[in-house]
Amino acid sequence: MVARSRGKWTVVLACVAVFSLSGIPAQSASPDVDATGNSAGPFASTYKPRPESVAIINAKILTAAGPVIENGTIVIVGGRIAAVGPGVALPTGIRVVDAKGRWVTPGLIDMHSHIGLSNATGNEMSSPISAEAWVEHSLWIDDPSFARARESGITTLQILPGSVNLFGGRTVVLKNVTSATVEGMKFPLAPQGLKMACGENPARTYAAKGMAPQTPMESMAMVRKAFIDAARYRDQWNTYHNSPASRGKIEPPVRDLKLDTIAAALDGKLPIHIHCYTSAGMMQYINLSHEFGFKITAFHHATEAYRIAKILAAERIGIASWGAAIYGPKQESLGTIQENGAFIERVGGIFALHSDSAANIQHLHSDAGRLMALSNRMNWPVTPDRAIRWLTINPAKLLGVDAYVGSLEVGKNGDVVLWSRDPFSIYSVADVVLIDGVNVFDRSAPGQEDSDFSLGQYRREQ
Amino acid sequence: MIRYWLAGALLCVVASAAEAQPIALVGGRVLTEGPEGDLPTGTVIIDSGRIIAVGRDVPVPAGAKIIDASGKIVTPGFINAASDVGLSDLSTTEPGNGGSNPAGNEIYRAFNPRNAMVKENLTDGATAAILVPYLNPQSVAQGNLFGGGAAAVDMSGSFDSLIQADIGNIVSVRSAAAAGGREAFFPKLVQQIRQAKGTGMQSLAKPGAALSVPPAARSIPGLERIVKGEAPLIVEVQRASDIVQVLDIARDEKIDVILLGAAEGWLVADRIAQAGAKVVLQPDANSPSDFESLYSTYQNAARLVKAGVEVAFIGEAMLIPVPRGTRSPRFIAGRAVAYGLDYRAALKAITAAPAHIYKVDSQIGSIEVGKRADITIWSGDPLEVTSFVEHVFVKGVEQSLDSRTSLLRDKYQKLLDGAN
Repeated sequence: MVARSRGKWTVVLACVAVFSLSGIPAQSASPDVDATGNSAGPFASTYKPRPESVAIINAKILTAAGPVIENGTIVIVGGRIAAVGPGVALPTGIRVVDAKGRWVTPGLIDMHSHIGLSNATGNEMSSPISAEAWVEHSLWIDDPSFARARESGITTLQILPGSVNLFGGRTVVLKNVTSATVEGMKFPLAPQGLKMACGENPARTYAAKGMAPQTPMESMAMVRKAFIDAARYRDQWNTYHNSPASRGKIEPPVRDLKLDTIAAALDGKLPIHIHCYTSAGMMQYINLSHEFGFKITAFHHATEAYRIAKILAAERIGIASWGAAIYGPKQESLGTIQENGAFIERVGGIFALHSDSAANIQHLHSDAGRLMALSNRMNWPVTPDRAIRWLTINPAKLLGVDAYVGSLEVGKNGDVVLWSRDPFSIYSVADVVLIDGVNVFDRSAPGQEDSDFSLGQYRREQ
Repeated sequence: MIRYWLAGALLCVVASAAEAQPIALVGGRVLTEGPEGDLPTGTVIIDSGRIIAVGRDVPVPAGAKIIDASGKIVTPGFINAASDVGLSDLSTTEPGNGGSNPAGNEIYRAFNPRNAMVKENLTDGATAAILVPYLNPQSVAQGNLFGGGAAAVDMSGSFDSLIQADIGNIVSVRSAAAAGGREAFFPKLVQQIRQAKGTGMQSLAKPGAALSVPPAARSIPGLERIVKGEAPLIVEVQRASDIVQVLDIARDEKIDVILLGAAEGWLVADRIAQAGAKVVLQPDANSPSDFESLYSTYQNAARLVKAGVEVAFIGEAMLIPVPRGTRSPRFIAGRAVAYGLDYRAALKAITAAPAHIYKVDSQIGSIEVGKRADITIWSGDPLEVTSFVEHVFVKGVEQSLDSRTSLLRDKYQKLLDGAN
């Protein structure tokens, strides 16, 4: 009886998916996952941009989709980019911001953040496989660090569960706006992701608890077992869905939230983000992906990516790491070099700069400047129009939101940052930040759009 | 045969490093951070590990090794004002080092100059670090109010890298609060200071109060220099109300204090300035990590400096939210400038100020005659991401810029470029 009613719910959701998508298999092993992540599932995004219109003139524009535009104009109409270029006519009556020669970039995207979480809320340490957990259900939306990130030009960010678990759970992609609800921050149409972790953290965490895994070898065995279980689960659902004549007559499989998530990842419906430092660990997860036929979207941290840069590029696996990476203090990060990202760029891979901390997220722009300088010193020249991609279109692609954000191109969201100077300089700060054309930060009038938690106990007078 | 030849070559290198040939740094823009101020083109003469001359028109001694610094910037080696560098190789599995230190312990004994992070500091222009012990709540709960002696060490990798030991002892308000409450901590701190002075508890008791006063039975070795005014008490403290308590105790007991962390220091900047207390902080600690630092702001350093407080910077931390850093403070200083701190104040906060605050300024902190020749030559603005260290000297000896990480980079670049 219970199973029957679950089954009905499943069918209803699958039908919604049929109407809302094209070119995507309608039926999913996971009733609350389709390729648009939250459009059909529960806890759907309620974010609605205000239809703002604004033009920025006299700007040096890094579009992340082509060369630098000198003395350019960008026009945003109804929250969407309507025009970008050197000789753009302004719609009558539009609000105009004069950049006075300053630099303009797309809003920055951080694909690895834990803002809104603490160690107590971001790591479910009762089981190394917590694939059933959704990080959005732990999110503290009033964390003041969202505002600090916004003031640093971050307009989109992915929040991930921590890395103590082999399967940490589902990630969430947010618009960096203020809201009284998590749903009000969720990026519409952005897929969730699956956070996984290889290496030291799971083994160390569970060894301390006397549980499995205690070693990397057992970690891999447990991951393989989970994928075997998920593949069987998916096959059971497929058998059920592919028997329309018998539907209603045979019992649907019993839903399992853990396997829902892993099966959806197996099917490519949830991008897979793997915390992994070493080249050996990454190679083993690549082999794992071949064994089970899934696609790894990105390795995160990946401080030894430079050792297997060509393999990663050939696999089209993204690398999300620090700009001037952190040497030590874990065994698995002793291979860190600051120039890691330069190797990925060199071989034509997809590199994204990530923060992993509320402090780092405030200087991703100058971290990119440092990495650019490090690469240039190696005689691997990188120009600003390439480096800006580490902060914008590359993470957008890896998060599956590049149709909406990540570059200044007609039709995309009006997420734009106006910088005080060359954004790659350590002295640069965001002067104005727009999300869907809405002015969410203006350094000349600070304080707006701050966290409710900060009101009355945090004064930002300059 | 080859082995003998290599050994011979190595001996020659060591010998030349120790050789007392004077070195002249010529033609660079010299930011001395000392009495000579900025020299648009200056000369620095190094001999026997010390700076023997600095100025616009300094003659180069005959036989000196000349290093052309034209177009470059010459600075004192930077100092990380609260560091844990070299104390542990794997913080995940070696939590002990730098942790539970009773007052008499000396942190420099746990310092490994061959730890790879030491070289990472050097290649990013930091030639010295102030090692400040951690004092965790567990240690406080075991009765250790003080964490042990801080020390200044250089980043040469030498086994003689101690600059000065016993330059201050540490207490932690945060750890004490977690271990048993602030209200118990402050009187206990006063009691221990007075025990160290040998004055007992008499003056703490209000007239008529019947406190039983133990004799000053136990002196705390690390505190001797503090109660004599020769070294500061380093107080790890974030909350403004705690800072006020600390300043009151420092005034009553006539001791020098360094406020370590001081995220909410700006709220009581004038009081800190009036008390003459010094502050060692993370300028970019603008996101409260708990209720001790709710009023964190990027303006903290600028406001304290404006109020007249002497401020020094902690180098970049490795994702650990405690007021210690492991890396060079150069970029953290640059970011402080981005958020409104005067450039000169930022440079001072990583050179002369930490040296002065910890009273090791007779040795390090500026390019000044008589001081150790700890000097960096930069390709450009030392706080900017596009600049690199070109030469670095510690005690007058030029250091190799090869590190484990640079050799890894070169190895894999060669493999990649060779394959293309």
